[in-house]
Amino acid sequence: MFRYQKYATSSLVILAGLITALAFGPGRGGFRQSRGPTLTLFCAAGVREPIREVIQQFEAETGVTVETRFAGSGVLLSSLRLEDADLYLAADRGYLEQAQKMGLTSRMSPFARQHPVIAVTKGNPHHIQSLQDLTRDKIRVTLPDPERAAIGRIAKQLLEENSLWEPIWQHAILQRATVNDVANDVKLESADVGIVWNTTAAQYEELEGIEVPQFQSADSEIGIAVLESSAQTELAEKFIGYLLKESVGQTIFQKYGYGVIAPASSGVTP
Amino acid sequence: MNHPDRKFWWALGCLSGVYVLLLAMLLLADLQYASLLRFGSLLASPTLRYSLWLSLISSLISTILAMWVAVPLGYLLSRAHFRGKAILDAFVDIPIIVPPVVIGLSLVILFRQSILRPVDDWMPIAFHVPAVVIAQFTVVTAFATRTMRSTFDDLSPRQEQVAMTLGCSRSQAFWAVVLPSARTGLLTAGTLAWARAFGEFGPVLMFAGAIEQKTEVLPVSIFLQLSTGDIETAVAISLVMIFVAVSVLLIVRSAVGSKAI
Repeated sequence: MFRYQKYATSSLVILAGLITALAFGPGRGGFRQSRGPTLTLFCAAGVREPIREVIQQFEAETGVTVETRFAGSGVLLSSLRLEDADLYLAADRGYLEQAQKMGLTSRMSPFARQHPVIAVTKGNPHHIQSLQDLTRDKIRVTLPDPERAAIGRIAKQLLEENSLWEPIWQHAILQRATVNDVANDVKLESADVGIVWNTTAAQYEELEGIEVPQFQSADSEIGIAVLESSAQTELAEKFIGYLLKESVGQTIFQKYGYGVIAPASSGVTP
Repeated sequence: MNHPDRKFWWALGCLSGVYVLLLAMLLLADLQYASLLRFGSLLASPTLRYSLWLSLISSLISTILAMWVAVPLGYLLSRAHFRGKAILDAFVDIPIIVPPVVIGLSLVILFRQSILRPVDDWMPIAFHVPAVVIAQFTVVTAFATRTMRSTFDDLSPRQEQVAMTLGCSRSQAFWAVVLPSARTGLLTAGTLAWARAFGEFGPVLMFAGAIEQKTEVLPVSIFLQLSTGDIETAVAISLVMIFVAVSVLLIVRSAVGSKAI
């Protein structure tokens, strides 16, 4: 046997070893994965922190495993056309309504709310007080894209009512696909101000959210829906119940700065 | 070293220095931004430890698989003459040309909406661990094939011909003469494939999802941290990746440089 034939043979042995390691190793991917029921949740990446806490408690209490796919609400919506899942959690009601139109789901439960604020770095070094300040010279503005991010759509709608959209949009140096990209711009000081959710501002230690009257009453609802492709709707409903429960989901989301929607008023809307 | 030569080396040094300096500054800026305190809590996190383990194992598997394809395919493209060779040559470059995310999307469609659906229903691949390896393999093999092909192109076919005149079969000449002379190319293709697989993001995210403790590899962890605004942790994970990748490359190259292989 030639030396390089020996190398080739040993590469196969190593390969077998590595595959075995992967199959029987740690994590949920291998053969040792829990054989109990598993729910698949497609979840807006922005709510990752609170939803992780909810899932941890849910898994500990029920023994059900929740597998979560995180991405932007819009990206998840397109993925849902290609694959099956049990639950879809979107950062804005609009996406859930779209999902309904596509026939992916028939019901939805809004459970938390948030509204836009102006994001600045802690201490507000540029003294931003109102939306008019966003058109000031030498203020570098980063905005969420109304075509791609829920916050952008809402901000545009609200600003247009005050004829402020065009001047601010023209003045902006960056247009971003997600709210976190906008917040990251301000955090990294690539821009001086941005428009983000109040909850986004609260999650960033380095940022401060400036409340303005035009935005305060404009709540966007975060909601969750059981998908038509789910083969375990009862279990999925159970998770939603858990999320809506005052002592669990609502408390956790409140801790992260979200406004909560009482289950009675949200219920399960058709 | 005489005078004109010194000037030449100085010029080379200055031009190279610009790039090396840029890389060094990037690394320093990352280190300064990430704050060392984070590394402790990062390495203690089971999510990150799993991502690191999955990244290492999956990238090694896809590298070995890629080399098993790249060596024969590269040799075929370099030495064999057949109809449609030019087309095959361009075809193999597809994963290099298209954006990585297209590969991921195409894999999802192939396994979930097309002919491989029955296979995937019988043995789940998409959005499970095997999807990580398949996504990496698909991209990385193209790069390894390209490298192997140019390696074989650079080797004169004379040596093999001499070996065969002396009584070797084609296969014996390949194992005993061609591969040992292609040693450097094999090493380059292997390390390039591994490094690329280790850092692969787009196709993995599309085809394997970002499922915590299941299909979350390090580049996906970085993406998830960024999407919740934790830039410091994202940078710290990047530094862990850089450290691991550079160590692996140094170890492999010094082992091979010492003629152990």
